[in-house]
Amino acid sequence: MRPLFQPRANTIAKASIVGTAVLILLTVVVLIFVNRTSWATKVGIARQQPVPFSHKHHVAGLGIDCRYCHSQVEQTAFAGMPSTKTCMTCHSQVWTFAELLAPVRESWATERPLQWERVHNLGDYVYFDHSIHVNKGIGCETCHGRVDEMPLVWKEKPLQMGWCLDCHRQPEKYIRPREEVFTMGYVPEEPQEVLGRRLVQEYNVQTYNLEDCSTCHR
Amino acid sequence: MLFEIGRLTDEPERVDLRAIREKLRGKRGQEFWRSLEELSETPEFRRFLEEEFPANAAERDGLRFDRRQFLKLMGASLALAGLTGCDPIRAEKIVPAVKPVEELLPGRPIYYATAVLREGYGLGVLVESHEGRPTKIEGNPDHPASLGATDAIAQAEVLNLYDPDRSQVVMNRGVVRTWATLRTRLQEVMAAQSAGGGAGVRILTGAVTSPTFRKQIEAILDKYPQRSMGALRAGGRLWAAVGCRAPLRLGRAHLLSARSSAGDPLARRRFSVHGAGRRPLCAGVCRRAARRRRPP
Repeated sequence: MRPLFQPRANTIAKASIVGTAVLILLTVVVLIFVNRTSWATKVGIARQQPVPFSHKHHVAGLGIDCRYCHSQVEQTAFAGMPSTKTCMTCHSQVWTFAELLAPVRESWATERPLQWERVHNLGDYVYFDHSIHVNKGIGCETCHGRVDEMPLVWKEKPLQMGWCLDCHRQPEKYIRPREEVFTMGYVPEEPQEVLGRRLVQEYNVQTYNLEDCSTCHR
Repeated sequence: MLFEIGRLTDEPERVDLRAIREKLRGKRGQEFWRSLEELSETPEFRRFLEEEFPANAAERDGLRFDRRQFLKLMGASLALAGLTGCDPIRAEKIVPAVKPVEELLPGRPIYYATAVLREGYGLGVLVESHEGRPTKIEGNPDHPASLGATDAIAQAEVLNLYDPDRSQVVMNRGVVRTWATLRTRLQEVMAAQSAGGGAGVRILTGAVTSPTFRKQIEAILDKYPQRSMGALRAGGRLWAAVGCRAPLRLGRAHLLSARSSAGDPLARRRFSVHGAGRRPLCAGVCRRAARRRRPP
């Protein structure tokens, strides 16, 4: 009778053990890389919005401050989104019949809110507070990029944990004077290492617990 | 996969819920049963209990999947459980208000100073409200009857706002009506009543201290001399005493004989004032204790 296991069965068994290990490893590696692509993080992909609002036009062209629309960024976790009324403060006077602004006028007339597509979305397990960052000298630009050069807003940074920790470990690399928080295209007047270290001291940034799990995951 | 398993038993349903329901039909509230034992005396309930928690259920019912298959399914669900985490970033909307509410910052509570009615008297409170939803009641430090304190009843008052039994719309025999319908109907009824001097009219209220409300009620009472009036309050006192109640200076008292504070609109104030009077003594004791605890 022919034996059930031929000599090569040993080879097959060894190969499949190694193969399985390699396959698992490969899957993990591929997943890690996929997670870093812009397909997964959506970095650099402009989002279509119900109204093609251009930050480039409003910020660089007209010079409107961030806080005119994101009015509560210095006080609460959420930066705040402009109500339809905020749009209408100007657009009841200028571009009153523009086709692009029809959804805004409709929202104003029907009292139905505009539904904007969220560009920056953190997991529900992350406790992020805009106000503390802004008040401790982290500029809008540091996380959101040159919004004044974006016709439609895209995500500039991946907003993943490694990226957050990069700054939480060395805030002196990114901190800027409070007066410059809302500036776009800010260039420090003195070397960042000197300025950063001084500002971290001056603004009393509590570096001892910036890396704690419970700082962001509460 | 699990959907294919279907019902765990092929036997017809033996639980006679219908008989249990039949027995309870027409009964209300406390009449259902006074204790579980009383209910469990019935043979229907015994059968129901055996059906719900049978011994050796799997064997008796001849389950169509055995232990191995069960473990396979469990293993598969465990292995695949992590896949739900591989969800790309979900598209979310941001929906700002059309007209912003004054002073409201989304994510921050607003505290409204208002009053809750306690046995006819207003107790000044602060109500914490998140995006228009009240969540917590605390005393108003600036209100003389509260001085920042509340009691258990006032704390629980916030639940009243979410009471599912509270009607949110005008209802007539289970049908939603408008306020206009109510007004028309009420006028018809009251017009018919005025012929008999209002003999069929009843007014039920809690204790009333509001001079305006009292005036309005008295206007109705004058119009319908035959009406009767009742207070929903246990004591049956209708017009709570309005006027000056001198706050006792309990802060100077060293010893208090406690009595029931029920029905005392200034009870919260008295507690606070008396408590504040005691504090210096306590603070001294606490300071000494703290000094002893402090390491050299």
